[in-house]
Amino acid sequence: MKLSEQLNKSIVSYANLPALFVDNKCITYKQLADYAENINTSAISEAEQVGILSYRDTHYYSAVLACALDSRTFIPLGVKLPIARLISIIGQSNLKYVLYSKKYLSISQQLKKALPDRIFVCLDDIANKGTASAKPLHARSLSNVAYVLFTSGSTGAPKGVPISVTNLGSYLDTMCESLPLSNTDKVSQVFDPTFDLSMHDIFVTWLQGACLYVVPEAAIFAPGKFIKQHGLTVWFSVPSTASIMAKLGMLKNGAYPSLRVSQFCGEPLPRALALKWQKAAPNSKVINLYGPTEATIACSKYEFDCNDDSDSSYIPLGKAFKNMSFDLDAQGELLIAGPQVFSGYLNDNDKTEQCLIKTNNITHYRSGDLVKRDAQGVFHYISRIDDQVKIQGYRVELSEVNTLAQNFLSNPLVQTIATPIQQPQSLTLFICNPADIESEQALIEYLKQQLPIYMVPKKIIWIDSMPLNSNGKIDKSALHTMTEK
Amino acid sequence: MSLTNSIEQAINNKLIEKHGEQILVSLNKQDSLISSGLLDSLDFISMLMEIENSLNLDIDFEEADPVQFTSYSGLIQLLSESANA
Repeated sequence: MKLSEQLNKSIVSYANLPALFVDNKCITYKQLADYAENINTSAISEAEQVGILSYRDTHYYSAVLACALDSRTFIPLGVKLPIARLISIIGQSNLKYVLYSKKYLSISQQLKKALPDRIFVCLDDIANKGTASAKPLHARSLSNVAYVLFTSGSTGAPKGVPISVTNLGSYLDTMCESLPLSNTDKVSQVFDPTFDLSMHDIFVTWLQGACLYVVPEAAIFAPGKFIKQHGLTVWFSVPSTASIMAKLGMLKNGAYPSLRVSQFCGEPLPRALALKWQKAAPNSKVINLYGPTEATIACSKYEFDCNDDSDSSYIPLGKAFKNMSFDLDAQGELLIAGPQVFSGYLNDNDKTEQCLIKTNNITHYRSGDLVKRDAQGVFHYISRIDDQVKIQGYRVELSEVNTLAQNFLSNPLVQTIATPIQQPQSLTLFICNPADIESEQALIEYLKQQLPIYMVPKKIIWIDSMPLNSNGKIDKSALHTMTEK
Repeated sequence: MSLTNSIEQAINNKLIEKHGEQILVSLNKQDSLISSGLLDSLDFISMLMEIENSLNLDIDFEEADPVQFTSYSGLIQLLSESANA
């Protein structure tokens, strides 16, 4: 069944159940669907694709539902992105229509000034208008693309990743089958709209009649209280969020008995942190998901077992979903195939050709992730292929230094960078712990014993917490800035 | 200097370090320092650690609501209350 049909089925089946909790208000499936209907019959009714300039409010989620119901592509426009980047996104995707929340009127005015031929439609006005007008007669073709997300591109301009309705449908089928929810589940929504993991939250929840609990912006930083207050049953965030919660003493044993499923994705999940979370959420499965945006949200999973005595510092990526397949090339780069793999970047054939390769008539996506497969067929992350640096001509895998330092110091968060950024001369190791001169010296001695001298960090910087970017991943450019101070 | 004043001073110092003196004039004390972009999570955590160390406080955030404690006035309130508890 198509996504739009499945969503319609949910709306009928769960009409008077809560679909969304946002800004301290609960909204039922019926109310949400009525608003979505109004959006679809507004000035955007002819549009095959729309941009959504909104954030963590009823407007945003209603606009997403509207697009999915009417087979219209949506492009989340990050309200915190610089105007120039938004202009680039709107230009590249040839967006004619932008839906915006009144809260972001000033951004939309700036965009309108730069792009006078685009049509900006205020969501608050649609919401206030009340009943839907009759469907317009204009025919338009249904879009095969569910959403387009823009990721940072190596050349500086953001890179558009279109995910088709088929890609998304395949992902959702797998997730709904492997992690079924019920209409009493309360599901977290932590991820930023420009991060594809937010699509998981929204659609996995609504296809199964559960309620999406939008964590308020100011609470995302450390959402322990929110989980308790609302008795959330399903959690999904980057591991860094859990790590900050641990630092603030929010992961005490038994703190979150209501959780029954906890998922992490977006960066490697440290084993020590998974264990801490498991103890804080004793009734919950702890699941590590993995996958690049280009292969739709996630394509492998691993269920953490606290009795597993593995000595690896990180939780494995697990095995590919049953409809997906993983292969390794000669270098150990993970190649991903299956119905979730996208069909190429927006207007960028060169990049598409670089990352989509055809072998034996099967298209594989080159993930850029170096992985290894163990005897059980479980995949383990090693490093980014493009995180490799050269120090004085020698090849250096930064993750190797990270892992050694981490193991030696009993698992703090660490990150090595090569500095200066343009032509690296040496490594700087950031350790997320209170400064400790004695163990610093011991660590250097240890690393000297383990690594060629050019791989031993010249400088160690102790920090209280890792800087994170808007997706909650370790912000390496912020670390570089810190070394320049 | 009272404890509350010391905490206020520590937060002021961090904000001034990042944004200069004038920031204190335009500051909305009820807004989250993180959501408003004045401090990132790194700044915020490191500021907390500095305050805890220098004033010898050990704060338990388990029941604390970040919507409140990430704002200027909320943070001062939480820290002073915890210290006096």
